[in-house]
Amino acid sequence: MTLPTAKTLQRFFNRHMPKAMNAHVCYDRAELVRRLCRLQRVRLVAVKRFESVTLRDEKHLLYGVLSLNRSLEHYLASLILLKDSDGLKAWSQLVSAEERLTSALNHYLIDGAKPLVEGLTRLLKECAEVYFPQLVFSSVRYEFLGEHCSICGLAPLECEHQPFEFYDGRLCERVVDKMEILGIDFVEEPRNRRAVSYQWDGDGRTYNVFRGTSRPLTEAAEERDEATGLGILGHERGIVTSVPETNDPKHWRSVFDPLVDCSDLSSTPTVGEA
Amino acid sequence: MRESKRTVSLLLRQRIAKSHDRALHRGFAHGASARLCFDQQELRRRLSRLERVRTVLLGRFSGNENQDEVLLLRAVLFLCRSTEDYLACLILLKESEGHRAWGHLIDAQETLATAGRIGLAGPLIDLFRSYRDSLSRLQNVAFPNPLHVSASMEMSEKICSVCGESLLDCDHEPGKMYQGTECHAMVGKAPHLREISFVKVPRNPRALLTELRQDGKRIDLFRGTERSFQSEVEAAGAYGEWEGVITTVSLSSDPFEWGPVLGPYRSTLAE
Repeated sequence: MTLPTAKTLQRFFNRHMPKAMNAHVCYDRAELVRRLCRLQRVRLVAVKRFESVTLRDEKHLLYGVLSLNRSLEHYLASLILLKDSDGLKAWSQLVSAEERLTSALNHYLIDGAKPLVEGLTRLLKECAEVYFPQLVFSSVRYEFLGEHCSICGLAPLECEHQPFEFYDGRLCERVVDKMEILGIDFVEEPRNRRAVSYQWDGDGRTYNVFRGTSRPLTEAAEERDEATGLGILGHERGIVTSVPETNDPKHWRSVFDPLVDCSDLSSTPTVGEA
Repeated sequence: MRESKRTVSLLLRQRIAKSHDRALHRGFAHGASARLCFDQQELRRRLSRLERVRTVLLGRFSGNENQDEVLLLRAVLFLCRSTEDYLACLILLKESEGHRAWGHLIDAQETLATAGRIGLAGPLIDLFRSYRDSLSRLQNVAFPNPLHVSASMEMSEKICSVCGESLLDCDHEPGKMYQGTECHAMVGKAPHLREISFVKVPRNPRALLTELRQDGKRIDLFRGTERSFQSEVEAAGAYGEWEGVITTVSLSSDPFEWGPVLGPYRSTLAE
């Protein structure tokens, strides 16, 4: 890669990412938080530094590295939440890590990133199998009735922009305006892995899949009635519909905000520091 | 004739296995289905429940003269014990006690292997296989891949733990079960230590490196943390060089001697 920023990004990648990926669930919680915090700060510094990058290839390269960084942040957050017994959130973070990794593959990868991407793909898959086995998901069947291009606002058939391509520094995306839900199925391999059934009823009790706990159905039903009154349908709470993260790193918020304490980090990391 | 005898034995075991189904469901199956994402309190609840089930099962030994049932009971007890260790491993992982969690995971695998060697029947076999696979996957994903230490030694005399004779003179084979008791080779005289190697696949997975020294720092492989040396002596390697080598006292094959799992750790650090 001969782009001007390639070397700096390479150093940034080599310095921070393999260490984050080597983290395991047996590690100290404080150490996991420290590594996550460091990754977040590095990302913020990188976004600021590369704000002026306008070359199409450079932009792809930068977004690829930042998406990898983001994927590792989600992975670390998932490990921390597992330790905190917050299984549902941990699952959500793991799915986000997978999605960010897929997003990274839509951009260019710097030299030497391939083994890390392959390793991380394998690791995330194994984590899902070992820490969250036998989950059942709901899958929504729907029909798109209208969508437009995020660059020109025209219908996809009428414009010439390609999704995931940059135009004047802006990423082209398809925006859905209207859709119709055709049905909801329970499946083992869903399109949206966040739509997980996290509790079920049986033998007069409600069982929480992620906590392993159960409680009387009457108690849970009261809570549901209350939630329904607030406009939340009890049984549909397990179906999480998420607004996808934007592809622009400037708009990414930090993962796991409330639990991260950066006060113990005395030095601010800099991108590409040797 | 031998075939029909084996079939009768299998049928008998299956019938007995059925009678233990309820206890198993309440104990082993309930414990083995626990996951790392579960509430810590729930994991502790399942662990204490298993310990109670094991105590009840121990009560069924007394006065029982049916050899098949006694053998199966032993296998079930080993399954329960293995699940207790598995739950302890999950609890310790949440508490960031990775090193101790590793010890319990290895204990769980070893106890499970003993249950398999005693012999299982009926629905137990399927449970056994899926549980064994989940332990193995947990080991690969939750822990780093540390280097292990393997000691090479020379033994002049080995004594059979079943009959007390020299292993060269008796018919028992180490690792095999005889009336529910595993045959061990006991060292008669102090062995002569030849060398210590670093290996990836060791005989004893507990003997492992827990710490690395690099660039003037001590890196704890199970905690992921780094710290500087506390003193010059420590930095020179005179202190704590063998901290990583753990020798363990094996779990007794007699269930009556087992204590609670999450009590003081069974393994001890070599001096």
